[in-house]
Amino acid sequence: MPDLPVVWQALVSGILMGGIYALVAAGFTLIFGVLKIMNFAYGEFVMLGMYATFLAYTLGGVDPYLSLALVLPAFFLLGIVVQRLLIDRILDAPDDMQMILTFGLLILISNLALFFFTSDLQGIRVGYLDRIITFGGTFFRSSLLYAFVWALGLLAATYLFIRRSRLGRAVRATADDRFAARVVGLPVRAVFWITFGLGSAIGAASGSILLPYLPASPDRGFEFTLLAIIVVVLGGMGSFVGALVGGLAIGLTRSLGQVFISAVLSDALSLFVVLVILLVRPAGLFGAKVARDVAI
Amino acid sequence: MDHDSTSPTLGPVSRRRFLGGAIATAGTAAATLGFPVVRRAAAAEIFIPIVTGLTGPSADWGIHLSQGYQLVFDEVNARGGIKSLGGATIRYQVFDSEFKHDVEQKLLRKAMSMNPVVIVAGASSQGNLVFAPVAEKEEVIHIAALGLGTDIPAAGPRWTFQMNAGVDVLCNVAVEFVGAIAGETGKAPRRVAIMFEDSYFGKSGGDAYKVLVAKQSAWELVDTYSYSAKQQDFSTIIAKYKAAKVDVVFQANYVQDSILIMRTAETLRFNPMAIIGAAGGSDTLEFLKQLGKTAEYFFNVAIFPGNLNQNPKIKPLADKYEARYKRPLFQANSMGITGAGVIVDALERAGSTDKYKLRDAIAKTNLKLGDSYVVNPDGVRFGEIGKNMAIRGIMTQVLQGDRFAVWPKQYSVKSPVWPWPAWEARA
Repeated sequence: MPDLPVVWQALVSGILMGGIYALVAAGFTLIFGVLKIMNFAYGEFVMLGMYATFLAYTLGGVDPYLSLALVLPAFFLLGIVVQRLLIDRILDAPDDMQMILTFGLLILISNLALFFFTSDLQGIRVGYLDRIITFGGTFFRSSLLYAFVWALGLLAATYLFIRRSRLGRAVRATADDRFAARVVGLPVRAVFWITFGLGSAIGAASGSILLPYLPASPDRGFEFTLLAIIVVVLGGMGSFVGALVGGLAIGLTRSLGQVFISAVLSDALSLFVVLVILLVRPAGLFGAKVARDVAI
Repeated sequence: MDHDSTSPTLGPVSRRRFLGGAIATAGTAAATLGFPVVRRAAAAEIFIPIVTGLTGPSADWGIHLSQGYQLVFDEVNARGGIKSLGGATIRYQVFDSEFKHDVEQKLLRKAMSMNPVVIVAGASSQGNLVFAPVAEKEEVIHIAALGLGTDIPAAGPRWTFQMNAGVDVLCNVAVEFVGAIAGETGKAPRRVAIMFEDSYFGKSGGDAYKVLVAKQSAWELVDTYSYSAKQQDFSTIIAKYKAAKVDVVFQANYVQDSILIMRTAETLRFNPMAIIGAAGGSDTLEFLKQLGKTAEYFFNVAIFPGNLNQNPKIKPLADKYEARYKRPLFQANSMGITGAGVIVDALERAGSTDKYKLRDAIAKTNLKLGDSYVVNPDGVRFGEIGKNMAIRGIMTQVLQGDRFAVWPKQYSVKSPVWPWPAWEARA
């Protein structure tokens, strides 16, 4: 039987990491839920968000969380530009074309990042984010706790926006039935732009809040895309609640798996859990038959 | 992206240029056909492809390694080329493998088709391991420039030359050091753990540690942990080690994971006697830069301890490197400089680009620090199967923010701090 302090530490670490995983996956699931495209370049926006915050901090001394005031609108606009210039053109194309385009975008962005930022790890250490917090015999960095709180806050804000605002309703209506949305006069194309912009901004924001905990590097993007896919497949494609539950489930499976089963097998275990859940519920924990429950 | 040191620039052909070319061609033809008096021996060109990663996850290593080769080859060319070959110049070309194994193998085969004198493979242990039998079969001289895998020399016993020590040699230094320091201080570890990333490099280190630790009857191996180098959280495993009162953690890892493990050790107030790395990621400048004070007292087995820059035998070269590339001489770039030095020395001794003669010359290499651009503290001397037998590794410790050699005695410039001070006791 493992020591209780070890289990407790694993539990706390799993929850904290899981909350961040959920935010990383939230933008991905939003884009998929509305546009029905698997955006393999999504993680690159997370990585670029990290670099944007790194630059804001190193060049202008901007606090990493204050940098969100720059990162969110900047990446919202960047997302709109990418959607209008690239994604719009392949929305009705076969799935493999969408995959090729977003993969191409992934390669382009990661190599541009490599060119401009080099392959050196770029991290920041901010005094108040570098404190060690003890809680009930567990230890964690304040950067991780802040990242978790910000992740939940951003998730909640996005959830409320989607649920309560007129624009959010338009997004949900478009996710539900694109054709019907057009029939009732919704500007579907504009909804796509806004959705992709919002998804990209959420991704970049998750990168910003992660930076004090995890340094940025140009090859980071794909690991976030992969993480988002696992979380979203587990929670259900297009489901916000699913992203939260999926993120926490992956975080806890990885950390508790190291305690109770095997440290070496913990990653494989999290994928095994996904497999089992998909066998029982092919649409994921909170997924509908067709992804139509964004923010439910 | 290929970088050719002698890329010709093609412009529009003017009449003057055409006439010049025509006269030169006619002159050359005339000389070849029967004007021995005016004929001068045209110096040959020695082609050396360097396959390494200039982009991708470990681009830093590839960039610095290739800069080391570049520095030496440029200097040799500037000094009049290889003298025993009538002033032949070295033409090198750097191929970017992006640190992808499939790309690396394709480029190595492409390089092989370009009639090279030597192929420098400087991307990964795994890439060198895969290419070594190919070089052996095709009889191409293969310099395994950046790889610590233990099986590389045996995979190409006649045509592959491993510039680095195998990671097993470095792990052995780590284990020997712990034994020695425990004897000196009377503070001996009882419980040890092994952590390694799960690629070929890390696994080679992990396997070597397992064998070495098993021989230590006084030690109990608490855990062996293999993980992905991209793992983002080590808190659970470090909590386990803390609970199990692990005294020493032996590691073989890359950059990001080594940084995260140290930060987690600090966060969880995990106070072993030491955490010890074997080259790899914990032996980079980034490790020091990202961790700052957290890196203090960390032990690492290095091939090139940073303070060696000040050694009078290599200081001019180290200064030259730093002036040109704005970085100090360190691990990968020192391997590049040394590797290039070995090739230059062998070419001079062989006096030929014949692959058999050159291979034999490389096999007989016996260079010490300061000879022919060699900046390895232990020099270069190849064993029967092309393994650099001279390298044995040096234990370094981070003290006041920099790495210093602390063991063995003949290299040490500072005394090791053993065991580590507890995190709580650090200023």
